[in-house]
Amino acid sequence: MAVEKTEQELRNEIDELLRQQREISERLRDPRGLRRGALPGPPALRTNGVRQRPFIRPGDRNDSEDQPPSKRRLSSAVVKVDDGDLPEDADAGQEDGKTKDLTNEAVNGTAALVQNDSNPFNSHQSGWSKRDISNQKTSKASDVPNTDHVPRVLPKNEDPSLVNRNKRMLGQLLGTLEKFRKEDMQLSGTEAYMRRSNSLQRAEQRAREESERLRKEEREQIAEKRRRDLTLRARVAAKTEEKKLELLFLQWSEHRKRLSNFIRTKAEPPIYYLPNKPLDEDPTLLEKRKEEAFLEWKNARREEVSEYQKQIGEQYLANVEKELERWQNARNARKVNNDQNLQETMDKELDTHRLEHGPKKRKIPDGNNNEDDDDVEDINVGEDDMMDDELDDDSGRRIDDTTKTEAGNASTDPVADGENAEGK
Amino acid sequence: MATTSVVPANRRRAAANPAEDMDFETTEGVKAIASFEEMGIKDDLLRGIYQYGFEKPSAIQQRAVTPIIQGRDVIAQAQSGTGKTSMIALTVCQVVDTSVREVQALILSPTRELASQTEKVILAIGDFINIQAHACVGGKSVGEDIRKLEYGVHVVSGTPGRVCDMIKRRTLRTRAIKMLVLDESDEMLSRGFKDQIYDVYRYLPPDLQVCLISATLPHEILEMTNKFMTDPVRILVKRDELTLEGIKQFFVAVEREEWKFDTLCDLYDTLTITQAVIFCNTKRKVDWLTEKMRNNNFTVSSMHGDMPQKERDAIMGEFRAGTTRVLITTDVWARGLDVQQVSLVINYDLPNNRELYIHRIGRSGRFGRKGVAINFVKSDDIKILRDIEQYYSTQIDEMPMNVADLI
Repeated sequence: MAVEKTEQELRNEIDELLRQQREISERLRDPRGLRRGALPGPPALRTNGVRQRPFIRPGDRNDSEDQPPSKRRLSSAVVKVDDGDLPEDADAGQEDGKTKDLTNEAVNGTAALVQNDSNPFNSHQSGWSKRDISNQKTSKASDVPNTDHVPRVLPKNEDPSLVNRNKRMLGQLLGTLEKFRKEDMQLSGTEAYMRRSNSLQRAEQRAREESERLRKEEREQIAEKRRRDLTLRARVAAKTEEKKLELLFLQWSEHRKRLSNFIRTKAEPPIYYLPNKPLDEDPTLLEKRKEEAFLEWKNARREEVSEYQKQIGEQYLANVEKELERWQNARNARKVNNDQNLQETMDKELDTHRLEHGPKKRKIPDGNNNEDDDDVEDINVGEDDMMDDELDDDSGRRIDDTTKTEAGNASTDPVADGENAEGK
Repeated sequence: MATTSVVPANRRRAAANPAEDMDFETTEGVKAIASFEEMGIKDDLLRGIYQYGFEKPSAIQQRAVTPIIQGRDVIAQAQSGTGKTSMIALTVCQVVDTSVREVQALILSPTRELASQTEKVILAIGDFINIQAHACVGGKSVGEDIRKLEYGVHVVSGTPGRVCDMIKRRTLRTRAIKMLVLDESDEMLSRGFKDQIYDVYRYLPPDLQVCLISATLPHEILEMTNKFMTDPVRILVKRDELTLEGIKQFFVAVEREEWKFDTLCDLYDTLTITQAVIFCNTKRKVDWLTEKMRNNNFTVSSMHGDMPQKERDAIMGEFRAGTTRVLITTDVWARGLDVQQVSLVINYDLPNNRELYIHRIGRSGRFGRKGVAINFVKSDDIKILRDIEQYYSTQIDEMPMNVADLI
């Protein structure tokens, strides 16, 4: 019973750690929150539905509180894991699906809005009468003239008064433009005009500098946030591997404990056997020797597991440095292009984003993980066989195990001996 | 039809013509305040206003600034180029509390260039009160918008699509917004934009102040303001006073579509006396005309909504600086854009509605300057032009096609 409970706890912890890992990876993939269409920094999955409700009920205008710092929340989550207070898998799964649906909806909405935005003059107001509308149709039919060119039929200058009138009209036109030019030259020199020009230029420059400053700040924040997120993800992944090894060690110990009831041949392949008739050796001494051998084995394996866990942690953190370096190089390469055109367009940003976070490389620990899975399956099969054969002995051995734990480190207690005797 | 006496909107006199529809008039009691000091503008803002080159408020500024800063809903109409954008900037800077780094005012415009221009004017006028403003427009970096909005700005000037996206992402917080300005509001409330405006509007606080600003405010637009405005102060201009006296209007009866191009070539030297904008009705035609002009060795630049934003920005910068002098464009350029060196507007195609005519020719004649507008008219378009002439009680003189012979 105790063993099963512990195993279940370990599995729950592993699931929670994997969920955290997915959350951090999602955040790394979309640092500004552009794709999701929601607040930057994803809120906890449990509250996603509430926060993204505007896409479901646009009329809802409740302002949600500011998000607590991501780091603190995830630290709290880690603490929760230690306490054993975990959300259920089903809930997490549902929330995941819900989040994805909402995100898709947001993206579609964004696309639609952008389309609308790019065509502000889709419709025209109509102020004409019906006859005018028919005229419009006529004019639209000849929207772009055909290439056949007919020379213009220019009016002949026969009527002197008409010629004079036309010259007067042209004179008015050119005169107005010339008058404008002179007045404009005069106006351009006035102090008021120059103040206005300077004022607008300064405003434009101020806006541009502000924009650039905010952009730089954001880049620095994104780099720092990425470092923190990668480190945190590495730690969470390492912890996940540790828990998996812990689970494996637990199963391995249990298996080993059962094997220690038998005698093993030195010849290869090893055969475990039990004599038909118990040996003449003192039962107490035999039991003691078995216990000592098992504990010795367990301690040795424990050391190996701990050493291996430490290596995994170091490996993950080393990968973080490599990944940061690669990301920074890609960013610098992009920055060179950006210097030419500082204007960021949405499409370009998303494209760059996609390029930067392309297919992920396989990590070494994943390979180990696969091997471990195979081992686990083998052990489970063996375990089932053993349990079928030795059901009665199991209960007895569990009692023994409890007693040994209480006894401590290989010290014989008369009371414990007494209990053992009773068991037998 | 102009009425001699002012009739309040909510009351009709016995002597009024029974057949006449309910008319919208300038609200009674709107006073003209002759100086910025008398309006109660704060000192640092006054400094910014003078630094911007203003010494005396224009007519619309005299009438509209005070009710806006008092928190009233306001409908403000004024001729093109008479200080509406700077009025928006002024009132917004006066209303926001710069010690609170939250979005407190939202200005929506139909085009990206106009929203960016408004942002620059706000930053210029609000220089000494340390105003933070951001242009939230499509085609630009979403990351940029997120950075700026999270850093905290007092004013957002944007196009409705991008603004709505930022609100839905919860990047643009709306709880502190107390003022919404719809610039070019007849366009913003037209069929094309109305749904987007509503999408933004329903996220805003219920006790919002709403201001509508435009050079043209058709009757059907004024009728729908009852749905979302509370007892608005109306400052309106009669349509026979909408055209600017400084702008001379002409038309050339080209008879056939393909003869427009030849006439344009004849006028090219005239175009480059200062700077000129040529309007076509479709993007495809803008591209076609640009290509044809260049093939005939004329230097022109062009702009329309299908171009990448970077390209649009570059062309805009060059034209503002005077590096290029002839711009061929669609109605994306018709509203609000302020380039004071533009003195000539050519309607290569007649506009699709009467309001656009006012806006197009309003790209010249900025803030009291002179200007010229030339309309190319086919035989079957003559009537449309005469309708415009009659509707606005203005005069459009005919120029012959053989302009070259007269020079």
